[in-house]
Amino acid sequence: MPDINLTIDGHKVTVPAGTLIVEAAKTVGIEIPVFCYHHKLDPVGACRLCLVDFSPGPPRPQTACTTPVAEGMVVRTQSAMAVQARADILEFELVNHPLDCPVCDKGGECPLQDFTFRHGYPTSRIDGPRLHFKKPIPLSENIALDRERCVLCYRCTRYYDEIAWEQELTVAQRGVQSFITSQFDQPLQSNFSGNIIDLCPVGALTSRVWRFESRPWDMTHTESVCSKCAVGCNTTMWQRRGQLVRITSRENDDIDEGWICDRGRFDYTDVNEPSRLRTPTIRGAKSTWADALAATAGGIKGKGAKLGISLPADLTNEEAFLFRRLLDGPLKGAKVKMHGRTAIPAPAGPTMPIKEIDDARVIVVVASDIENDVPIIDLRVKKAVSKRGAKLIVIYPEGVDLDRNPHTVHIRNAKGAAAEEVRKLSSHELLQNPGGPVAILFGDGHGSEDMNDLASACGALAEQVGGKEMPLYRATNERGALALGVAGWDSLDGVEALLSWGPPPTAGVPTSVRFLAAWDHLPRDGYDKAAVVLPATTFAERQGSYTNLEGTVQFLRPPVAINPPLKEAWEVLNELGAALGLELDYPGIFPIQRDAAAKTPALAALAQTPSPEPVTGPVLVGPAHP
Amino acid sequence: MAEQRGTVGGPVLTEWFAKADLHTLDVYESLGGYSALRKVVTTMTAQQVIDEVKISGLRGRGGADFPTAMKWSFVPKDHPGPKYIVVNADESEPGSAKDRYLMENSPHALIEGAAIASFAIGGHQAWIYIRGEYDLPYEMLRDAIAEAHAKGYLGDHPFGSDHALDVRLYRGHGAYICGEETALLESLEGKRAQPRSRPPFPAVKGAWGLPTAVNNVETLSTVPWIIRHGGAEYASRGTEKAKGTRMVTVSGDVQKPGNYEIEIGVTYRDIIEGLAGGMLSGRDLKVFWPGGSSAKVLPASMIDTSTDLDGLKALGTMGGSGGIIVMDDSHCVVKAAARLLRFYAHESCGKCTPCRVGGNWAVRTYDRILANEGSQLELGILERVSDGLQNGRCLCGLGDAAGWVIESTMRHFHDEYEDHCLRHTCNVGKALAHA
Amino acid sequence: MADEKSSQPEHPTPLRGPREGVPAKPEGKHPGVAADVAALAGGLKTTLSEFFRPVVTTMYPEDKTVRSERYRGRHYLRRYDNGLERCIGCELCAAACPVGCILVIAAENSDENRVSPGERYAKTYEINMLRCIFCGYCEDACPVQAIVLGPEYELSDTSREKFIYTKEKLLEPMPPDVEARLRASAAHPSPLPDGERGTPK
Repeated sequence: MPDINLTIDGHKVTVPAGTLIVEAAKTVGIEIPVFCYHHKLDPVGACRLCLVDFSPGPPRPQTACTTPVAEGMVVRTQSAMAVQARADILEFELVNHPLDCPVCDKGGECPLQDFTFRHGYPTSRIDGPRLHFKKPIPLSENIALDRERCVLCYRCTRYYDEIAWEQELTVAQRGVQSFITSQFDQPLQSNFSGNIIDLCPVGALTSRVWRFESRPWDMTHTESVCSKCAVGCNTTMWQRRGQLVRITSRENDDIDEGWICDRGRFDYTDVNEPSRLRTPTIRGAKSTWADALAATAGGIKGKGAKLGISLPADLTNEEAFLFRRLLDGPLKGAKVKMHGRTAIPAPAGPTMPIKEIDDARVIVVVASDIENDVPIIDLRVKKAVSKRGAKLIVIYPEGVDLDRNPHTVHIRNAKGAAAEEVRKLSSHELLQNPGGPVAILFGDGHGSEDMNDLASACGALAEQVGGKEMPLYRATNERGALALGVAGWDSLDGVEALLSWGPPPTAGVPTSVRFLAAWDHLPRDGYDKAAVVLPATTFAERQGSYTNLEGTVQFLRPPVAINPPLKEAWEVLNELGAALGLELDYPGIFPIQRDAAAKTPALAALAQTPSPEPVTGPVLVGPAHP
Repeated sequence: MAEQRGTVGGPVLTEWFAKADLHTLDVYESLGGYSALRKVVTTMTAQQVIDEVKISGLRGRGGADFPTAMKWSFVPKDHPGPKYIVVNADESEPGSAKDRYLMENSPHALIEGAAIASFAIGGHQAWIYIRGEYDLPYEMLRDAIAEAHAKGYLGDHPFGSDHALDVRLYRGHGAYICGEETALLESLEGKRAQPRSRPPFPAVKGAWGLPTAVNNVETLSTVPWIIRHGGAEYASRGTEKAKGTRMVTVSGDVQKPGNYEIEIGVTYRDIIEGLAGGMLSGRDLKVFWPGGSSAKVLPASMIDTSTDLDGLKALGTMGGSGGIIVMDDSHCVVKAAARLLRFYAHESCGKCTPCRVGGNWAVRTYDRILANEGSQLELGILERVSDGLQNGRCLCGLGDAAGWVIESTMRHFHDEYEDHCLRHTCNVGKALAHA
Repeated sequence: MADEKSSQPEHPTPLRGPREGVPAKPEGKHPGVAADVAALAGGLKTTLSEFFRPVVTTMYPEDKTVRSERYRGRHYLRRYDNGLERCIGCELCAAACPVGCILVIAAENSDENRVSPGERYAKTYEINMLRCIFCGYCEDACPVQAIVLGPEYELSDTSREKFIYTKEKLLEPMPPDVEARLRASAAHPSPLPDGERGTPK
């Protein structure tokens, strides 16, 4: 795209053609306040707050969020006309606003507050009665709606239409009586509903899980990664008084584009569970770590194939690396089963990066309930289809939410016959002349497909039509565990000793088990019979890294400080290794990362831990002073 | 009730209205109807049609006064796929009933005009979006379209040509905002009637994202006459800048309210005192709306204003949709403005902030003023609201119109506002009581 | 002697050299007994005159000084007449507190468990009185006049834990005169904004 030169408040700006004024202003740090505009949604020009004054153009304020830049344009955000126009709009926004900021969860991080301070009139002339609605209204188990605070920017309904392809949220009534409502007042059921909380520029949509937990200024936040599935969405985790109180999205255009699913957003309360395991126990009696680990080592040592190990889906690369060393040494021959592991084999070559789905002209989704398995990939596919005109072929026995696009070609295969359908695809009319890259996303049909067959069929199709493959792993760090060879898929039947890390095996603890060492963060049924119970950390207290399904290594950072006697998993594995007679003496997480990076090519990124602090530019308000 | 009066150059729109059963195809055709469409599809090119309309100087009669030929020429000629003409028959402007009068008398003129317009932009399909409450015009248009189809004037081969033409009817959803062109398109698509942000303009991205020209009923009803008599003949009527004739609806405190076709350029005195027979006995003109409730009001002293574009523009108002509302001195302007604001607040779609909130805030302020609770504060709020509604602050013209009502009534009748706000009296009633 | 008091230097005495400024001994004659007795009588006169003047010392703790009615002592949380707590748990007092001695943890009211009007109430409200500097910013920040600083200042106690004033302690009824003063001030609401058009920043 050719570059366009323009001037904003005296600052010279060069941006690609087609950029909107509001975005161009951001590049030089000038704030143009917006409510309805959101850079991931189509501009609509409804809130009218972004009024600026530019020439050449009509002699009245124009919306910066719908106007693309033009060569030689002179934009004035601080002319008397523009300043007054914005102040007028802000005054209008406040006419019916309940001003219950003290009890509003948005208070303190609310654009309406900030903009009113920075762009509004200093005095209020609004008196008399305001509009009232019943409030708060539960939109779902997780989201509360306050219609009085709503400024009707339509971000939530537009997100539902454009991004999530859901039809659950709409506007009812008209004029000043308009309000947001769910269809037929039914609770929202979408897996992507939580994003409307982040989108809402006021306190109209708030989290019920976080409700009144804390004011924003009381929390500290940490840039981390979601540990619920293999996509690896970037998140910000918020802590108050040693409790994880909130998870919000953190935009990373390569992976999540600022969206996270409801599981990633709301499923964290187990971290703060008062009944969490805190001290090791041996046969129900509290003990020291040394005793508990010695007892564990005694029970699992030298068992060979009689030892079963159940691994959690979200073990980090570092923990997997230590486990690899244990499996190479004292625990050699043990049967390993990883939670949530798909049947997809380790990738033979490079796989398709997530962001390249955007550019695909045809997308083939095979054997995956993509909405629930890898939710944010689902949103990426929807974006490619609805915003970039990609064609979509789905091969799955049941209906999926991608069917909501009327042009989706859905081939309903018989269970286990996905590979057959994939082979037939090469002659499909959409793939005859795709006119660009083809993305082939394949899952394992939740175990129903013969994965060797399906993977080779997808590989063959990719070769024929010039496409790229993306295996849709499900377990959080499945790809990292595969690279380290600990992503086991063994049956645990018949083992005599079981080291169960994380939740108990999905099939339950085998009846043949004589010695059970449970390493978990919550007390669960059956742990009273365990020989040893070790308290485990959660994703909120852990350091380490995950390899997501496209192979990107991302770092997990602990928002919550670890409270002794809890110990981090790498430390426990170190000591367990020592108790088993293996020389594991890493003094911290960084030596483990360096060692793992040196020994495993797929984890080379571990050698360089990036700085956790995000770089933010300064915000200027006002004209340049030369 | 409605009657047409001779205009200087002879009537255009109401030329045949004296004829009985004009709404039937036979009568319409016997007078020369559909000869224009026949001429267009058999002998003319699209560009020739646009040129002819350009010569006539025809402007949109829906209120914006945009040159019709220019609007058609904005529709991209090389666009592959469908292009649409959408007829805005959602006449909801308070004080305006001219489109209904035209459709009830001569539905075929509209159908013929819409078909010609479709031909001119290279499209095949015209939609008539008719106001949901217009039952009789709907039925008449429905029957007229069926007649035209039966005769083969519409269809795959109108008059034997290969340029397929079709006109379809769509009943509106019953809101004032549906008459706004982009909201009308949204409504036509089956969505909430809310205006779209422009650009892109409908000529580029209109109904269903395809190039669309939205024209008023009166505009298109004029087109067949222009084709029959030539653009120059039409242009000989009216003034230099504003050519031709137009329909006006006169309502209010006049002797003979009704629809009249006027030659543009006559003064409002000619209309109110001439055509409409003057004020009701014993009353004096106080104020009139020159072009529907959305136009800024003019006080009695400006009755000699010309109906041409420039004369009205100089006063900051417009001919709009031709609805002339006349009020005599027995009425309080503040109460009238409050009533109108209630209408605009009620009809606001709620999409953009100023119109959604501002209209309602003004209504609440007027309520306080009329309840004798006003003060300088209320006057200030009205000024600010009217400021905040105008000049591009809103997404569409509805907000501006609401702002104009406040601004123009306050400008011309500030003393009445002060009486209400500061002295808590209404002198209008008193003056009458003394008289 | 009164003269001596008034002749005190305005500034600290400058450094002097040895013997500098010391009056010279009177030459020859020593003062007589009469002069000594006169000096003694002068001193006694002062003593006796002070003896009959009114006493200015307050016999604290038996007696107490009069405090300003706006004196800032220990905090109280107020209730409405219907018994509901005023505090809405907004934490603005904690945000305003310059020493960070206030802890508020909020929770949501329900119809079954209604603690305050509206949606939100303070589940936990604690003030660490050892840290508090009695600046009154919490009172300023409170949007519902829930927290006020009362007149008591005798807050000594026997253990540090007892200085963490919990919500129960803070909700104790406050002295009636303070309550009456607060009610009086609430009877005069702030005037409406005038009709002047504000200028945007």
